[in-house]
Amino acid sequence: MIFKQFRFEPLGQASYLIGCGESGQAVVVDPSEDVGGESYILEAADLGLTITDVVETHIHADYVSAARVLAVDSGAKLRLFESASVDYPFEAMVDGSTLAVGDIELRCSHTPGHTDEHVAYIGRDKKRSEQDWFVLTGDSLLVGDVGRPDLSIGPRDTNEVERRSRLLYRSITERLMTLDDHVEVWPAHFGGSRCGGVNLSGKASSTIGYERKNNQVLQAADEDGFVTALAGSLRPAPDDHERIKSINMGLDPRGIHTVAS
Amino acid sequence: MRHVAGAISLQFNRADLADRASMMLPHDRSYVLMAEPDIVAKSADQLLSDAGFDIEGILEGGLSRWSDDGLAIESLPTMTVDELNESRDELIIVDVREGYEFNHIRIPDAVNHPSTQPWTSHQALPHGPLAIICADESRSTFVASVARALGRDARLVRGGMTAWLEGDRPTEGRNSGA
Repeated sequence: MIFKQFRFEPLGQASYLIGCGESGQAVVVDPSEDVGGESYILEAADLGLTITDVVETHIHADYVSAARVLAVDSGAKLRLFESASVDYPFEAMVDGSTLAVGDIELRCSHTPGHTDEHVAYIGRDKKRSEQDWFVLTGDSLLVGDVGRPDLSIGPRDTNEVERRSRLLYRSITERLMTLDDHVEVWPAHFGGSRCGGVNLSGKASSTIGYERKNNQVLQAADEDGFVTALAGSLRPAPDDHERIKSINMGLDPRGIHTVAS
Repeated sequence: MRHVAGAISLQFNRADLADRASMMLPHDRSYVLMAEPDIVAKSADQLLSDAGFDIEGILEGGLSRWSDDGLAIESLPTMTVDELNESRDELIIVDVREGYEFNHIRIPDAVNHPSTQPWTSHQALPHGPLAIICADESRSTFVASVARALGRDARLVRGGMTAWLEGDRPTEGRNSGA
């Protein structure tokens, strides 16, 4: 298995190129326009891989996604969770469905909270083992922290923030924390990212076992404690997040121009 | 392994494509590049032009468009390591890895013809049915494509020595244990 994390440090954003050397196929997860669609294609070519799938864990609000342009330029399939509300076509992933990329298998796990259409991808290398090996957590579980529940289009609504905080708690405790301790955690954000809170680590990977013991927000005694702790640990919202989200949903004509240029 | 008739195959890599091309391809002719997606062909164009090659351009849309337009496509013949093992007596096995790799371990009776030799040396490829092999498929695809372009009867061994060594198949050399 070939596994490469792309880190765009100014935004604390992480994207992934995961490939199977045997079949020569690769999937890109959460690509960013700051890294650039071409970079993923050329990096894949350097590794002898062809990108067959482009996947998003959710519709991002803090950076312009390169998913659409990368899918077009590479001829790959664009895959989002079935409930994603966007103005362009995609292949729908459903909860529990798997994406096979050669010997690699990514299992889609619906983990709402940061957004309603958020999914994590639990990965295996079937050539080596049937065990889960890593999880791409997007903006659900982060290193030292969790994804923020308050970014959306429209006025800030405390009931909505609380609803999503509760969904996030259940997604993390019922879906992610039931994975084995050894499973690696590869998030979409780290360091200075505004998608996390004050506890977000500068380290861009961890394990389920380490986060189970040491993740500050998850040390809350129960769901109510988590909701309170989360509300008290937020950073200022990312600049321009409503416009960025609208670009990534395919709704902003300036964004379509930005993406196409 | 489909390709435009007569095309030469060279593995793309931004780090060393220009170096390998300078070592292995003639400078006295011009080239048309094809890779999928086009972004890879454009990158190769830049790298090879910077290295002094005369690049006419890239074939936009790659093999897919070539084939959609009904233009002729050939397939590089291939064989598995098991097929090679069964017909070893009828084929000339051409191992295109470097000499140190060949000395380390090889298929009995294979001849060594490193892929990194200058272009003109490929005229010296043996005549007869050739089975071209390297460690995997990258260097062997290059030499097989050259051999075919020279009109030789060449086929590529899928999976290369890596696949050969995975089973209990005969070997010789310093590390063969034979």
